[in-house]
Amino acid sequence: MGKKQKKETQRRWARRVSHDKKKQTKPGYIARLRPRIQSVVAYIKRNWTVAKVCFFFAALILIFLLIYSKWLTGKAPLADLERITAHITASVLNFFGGPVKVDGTLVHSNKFSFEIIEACTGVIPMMIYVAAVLAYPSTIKINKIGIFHNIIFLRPLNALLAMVFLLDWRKWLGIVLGLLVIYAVNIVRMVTLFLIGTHFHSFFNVAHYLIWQALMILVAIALWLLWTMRLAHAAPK
Amino acid sequence: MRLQNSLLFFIGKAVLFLIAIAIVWHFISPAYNDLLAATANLFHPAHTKIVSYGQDTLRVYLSGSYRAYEIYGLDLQYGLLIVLALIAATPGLRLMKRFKFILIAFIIMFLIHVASILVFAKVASSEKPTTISSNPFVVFFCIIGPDLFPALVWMALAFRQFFPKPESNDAEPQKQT
Repeated sequence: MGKKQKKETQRRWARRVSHDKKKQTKPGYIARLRPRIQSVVAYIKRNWTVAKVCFFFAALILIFLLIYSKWLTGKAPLADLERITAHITASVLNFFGGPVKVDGTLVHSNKFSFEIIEACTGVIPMMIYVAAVLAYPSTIKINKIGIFHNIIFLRPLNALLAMVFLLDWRKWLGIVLGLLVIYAVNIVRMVTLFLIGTHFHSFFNVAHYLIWQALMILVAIALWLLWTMRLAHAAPK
Repeated sequence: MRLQNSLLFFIGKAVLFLIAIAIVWHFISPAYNDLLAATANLFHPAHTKIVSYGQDTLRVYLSGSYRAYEIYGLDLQYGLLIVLALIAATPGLRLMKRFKFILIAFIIMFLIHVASILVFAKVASSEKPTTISSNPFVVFFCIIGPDLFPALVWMALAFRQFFPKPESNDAEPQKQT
């Protein structure tokens, strides 16, 4: 082998080595991202049950959101619930001695009046509670593919029906009892707010917006925690 | 953790914290409202201006129109109070971790409030007044959100206090030989 040939082979080797080094030092964007993606996937795998609960909960909230914005806002079922809430509130207040009258959704006396609107029916804490109970792990497997198929094609009522007929009795019991308790607490809220509005009007805003609205969510969370401990069989792992 | 026994205690503590925070917040809320309006104005959609009025009201003004759209400030803010009360009452948290969670929750809730105002402003500037309240984004951020987000933020931060992670299989007893 001549000197020229030797030098040529050495150059080739040097080029190859430098090329390999470049490859090693500057991996591609996807290659750099891969370990991160793998660690995220591994984290989700480790917490698969929790991830499923979160995903299912989000899907249920989406269904309720569609139902609320399409069929409930200003429509008959919620308007009826507003009127019923107004009548029950007035009945309880009259039972305790206050002469209170009802006109549609307006509850009024000589000193104070308020109107029952959608948010005053407790329907949103109820929705969140029901979604949390439904999303919690259960032994009975729900046809999730069917449900998500219905969600994708914007058929929330179909999705809800698909779930309702496949529910565990513990979930039914939790939902029914929970909704009754939340509605009862909401009536207590309305009655106390009317009394606060009548006797301590300057405290009404704090009681209405800051304390009672937050308390309703607290009640929903407490009921859900109670349900998971008393009725549901397994905690998410 | 014996949740059944401590649940009532936890809820009782959360209610007390909530009432205490609400009374203090009554005086802080106008400043918080101003802060929300100032931050939202940094990112607000074109042709809108967000102005706060006292503790109660945030108004979205559209340029070239006399109409203003109102969000009730306290209607958004109570979510922050519930998160703070829940974290303060969560059993088994160390003091530093509790403060850390409170800080994280405060930042997240503040960002959510700003996002809610921006979404409302965006919808107000692009839709008819009659359809704003039934817009899915407004329903999500301004009606369901104030109840939903605090519960989610608290659960994300503190759910391991109620549902501790089970020990791994490595800790199982060794086989007898």
